[in-house]
Amino acid sequence: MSPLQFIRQRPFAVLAVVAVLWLLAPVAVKRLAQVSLFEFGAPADFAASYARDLQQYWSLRTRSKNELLQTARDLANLNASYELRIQENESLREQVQRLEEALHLPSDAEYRTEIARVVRREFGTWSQRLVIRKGRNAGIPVGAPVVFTGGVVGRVAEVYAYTAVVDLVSSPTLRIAAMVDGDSRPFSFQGGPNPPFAQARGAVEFVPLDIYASEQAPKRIVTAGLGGVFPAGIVIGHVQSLELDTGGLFKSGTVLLDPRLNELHEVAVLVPLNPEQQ
Amino acid sequence: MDPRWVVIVLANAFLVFLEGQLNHYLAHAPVSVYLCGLALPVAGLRLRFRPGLIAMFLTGLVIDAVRPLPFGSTALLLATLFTAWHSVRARLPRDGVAPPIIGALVANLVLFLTQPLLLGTAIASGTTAGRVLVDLLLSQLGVVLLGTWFFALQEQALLLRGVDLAEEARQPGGAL
Repeated sequence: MSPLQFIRQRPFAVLAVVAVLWLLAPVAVKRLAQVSLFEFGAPADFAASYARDLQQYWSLRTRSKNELLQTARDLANLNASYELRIQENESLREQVQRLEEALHLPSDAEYRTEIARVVRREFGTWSQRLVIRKGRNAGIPVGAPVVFTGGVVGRVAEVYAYTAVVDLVSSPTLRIAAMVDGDSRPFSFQGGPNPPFAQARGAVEFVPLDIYASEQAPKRIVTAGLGGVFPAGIVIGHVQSLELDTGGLFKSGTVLLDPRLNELHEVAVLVPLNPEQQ
Repeated sequence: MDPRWVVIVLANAFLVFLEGQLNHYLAHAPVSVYLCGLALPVAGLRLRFRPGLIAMFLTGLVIDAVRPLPFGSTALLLATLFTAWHSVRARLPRDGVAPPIIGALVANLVLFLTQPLLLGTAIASGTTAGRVLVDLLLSQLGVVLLGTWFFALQEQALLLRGVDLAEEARQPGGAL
């Protein structure tokens, strides 16, 4: 093809120039464009999220007084039991601190909890993410662990001015050091693969050979506390099956995650108090 | 500023928002839909090259900003699809409901199936064939159901800014 003929194919030449210019553009320019466009779309997601909250408020207003009184009574019982737990936790915390000082052990990383509403859930084909209604304004850092009453939710992947994006525990983008509850040997957990119309899943690898699990007797797995992101002991899910992997030295298997994971309305972000300890 | 690409980009940003809301509710299942192929047909069929290319590139950036894909990858893909469509559109049927819907289905299929290539094999392998199939079928169904409405929305939005694409397309050098 002569150069003249090539120039006649102007659309493709222009496309090639655009592509080259984009590929050569500085990373800072691309990052600025990405953040600007995300922030441009954020108010619409915020508005939809607040509209859902309002909808929920008005649906709650339709409840009868008797129903509300019953709920208040249940909450009072729950509060009483939590008061007791708080006192127990406080004495345990003091005991741990005394032991750490006596044995000259480094103290565990401490966190403050930042509660955030879920703006948007994305259970995509290849990745699962949440957008939450708090970001840099609440001091949330990239990499902070996110939890809920059922255990691990995921890890903060991106932080914007008033929102943050969380990689869910069911997403293949997330890997965590895990261990069976009551056992101290760590192994690897990774989110996915997630079948359609079914509970979210994950997979475990490098599980010691003497650990057994089945659908009838599933094993609860928790975070191992290694890697410096998640504190130890937070529930990840239940191992439903374990099989010998190809090398025959370890086992691998499937983990069923909490069914409430894809219905979350509120999560807690654990913000490290001393990031340098992590 | 040319209102054509501005209106098309804003309409496509609205499409991205709608898709996000739909996926928010579908997360209960959990399945998802991908509707970005709908962004292409009005530009591919009706717009001239320059505003069309700008509209598609910026639409791709809007899509990439909310997805875990390399930023700019969908922009380059949409720009390539638009250029290809623009270069052959004189030889393809353009009147009626079917051409934009078929174009949107093909674009959606290409954009959906290139995602695992852009994400990398480690992440792409973290799903099941069943999930890919169900999501793809739901996405294509969504494109068919929403297509006519969305194209009409884009054309009406342009009419509000005083741009009649159908009229422009019949003029010398236009799409028809």
